[in-house]
Amino acid sequence: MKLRRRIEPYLSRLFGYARSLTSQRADADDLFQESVLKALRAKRVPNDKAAYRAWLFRILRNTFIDQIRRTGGDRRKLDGEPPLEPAEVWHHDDTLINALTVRNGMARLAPPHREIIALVDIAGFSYSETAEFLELPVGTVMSRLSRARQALLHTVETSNVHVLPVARTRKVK
Amino acid sequence: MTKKYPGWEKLNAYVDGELDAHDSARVARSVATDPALAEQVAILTRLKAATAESLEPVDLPAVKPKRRLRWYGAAAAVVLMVAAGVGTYVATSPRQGDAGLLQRAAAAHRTWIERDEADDVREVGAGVLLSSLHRLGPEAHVPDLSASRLTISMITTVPASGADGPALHIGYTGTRGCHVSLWISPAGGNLGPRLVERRAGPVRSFVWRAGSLAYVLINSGMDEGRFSLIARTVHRATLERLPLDAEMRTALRESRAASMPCSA
Repeated sequence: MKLRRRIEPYLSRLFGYARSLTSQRADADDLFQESVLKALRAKRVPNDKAAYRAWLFRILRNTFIDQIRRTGGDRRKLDGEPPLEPAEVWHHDDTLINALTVRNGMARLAPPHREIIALVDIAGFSYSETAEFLELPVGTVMSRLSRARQALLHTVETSNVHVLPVARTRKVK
Repeated sequence: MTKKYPGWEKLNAYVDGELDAHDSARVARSVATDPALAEQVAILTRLKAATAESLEPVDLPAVKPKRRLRWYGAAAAVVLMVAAGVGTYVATSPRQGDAGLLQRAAAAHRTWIERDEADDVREVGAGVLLSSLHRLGPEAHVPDLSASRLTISMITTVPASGADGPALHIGYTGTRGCHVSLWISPAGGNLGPRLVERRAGPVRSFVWRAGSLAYVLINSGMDEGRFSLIARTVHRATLERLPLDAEMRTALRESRAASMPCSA
């Protein structure tokens, strides 16, 4: 029961990370459940809070890589650097940015971009923790994250999901 | 990307709280005097918050924590030794009724579930499975249910006891808390090749005969339609003694995708 209580605060974040790694919701569901069960069954669990969080996300990532291997997929898709987005700073209506448009936009990003946003903004990793997790230099994390957010803003802008303007009540004269 | 200080990358690090005090103060001063930069910071802050808000609530999978498997190391040897007994016993087994067969299979399933709640689960290697099948003789058939995300995590043999012949018990485990038992033993005289469903409380069983062997498939808590499809698939596969064809695999995959996880 102690292990279950300890993992509960991380469940939504773990699922969010699973969603960032997989393109199908059903696959994310499987990945999440398999990873959580592995964590609950583990013999050795880190005591330190930060180490525990990193350990949980590491289990999920390794499980995902195992699944890729089993199905003959290419894990390099996760490691490669996606092409650069047009170097423009976003200047559009920021009311377009909300949970729904971001969730839809994330699904359209390249896997390495999805993953790095998930690690920083969903898992709550610092740049140095992300660098250690992905075995990358901190500078690479920094540049990849900024490009990923730029790409995300671009997908939000071009998404078909938009916030409807709030209807204004016309005053009766 | 903007050419002036701070650049887009630096602004991201600023919003993420990743700059040291000196850099952070410098960026803050620039942002305070430049409305365009302030707008970028607002956008990044909003994006970061929306990403965190995009999380969906999820529940803990309904399976208890498990310890590492202690009996697994001896499992292969046990299978080889006892399955040899099953293999030679098939031809000379005394006939037994369906009720006794179902009772034994259900008891084994229950024991496995209880033990599985406390022990670790690992996929059984192909070598162990092939060895046990070889010892059972050419008739025995254990289908691959990986299309339904069910993998064989346990094989054990049940020795003969009194009038009951020996049996092979195969446990399939899913990734969403599902457990399905396949029980294979010498068939009794009353059992025919037709797929027959039995219910005992939450436990559903399907029983049939294929050649001289009786098969029982048992589960509780799985989506009813999905388990029925699995039963029909295993039934057909054991009668034909052929691997699942593409159509069967697709049906299993789709049925699983459309179903809820198994209840505890």
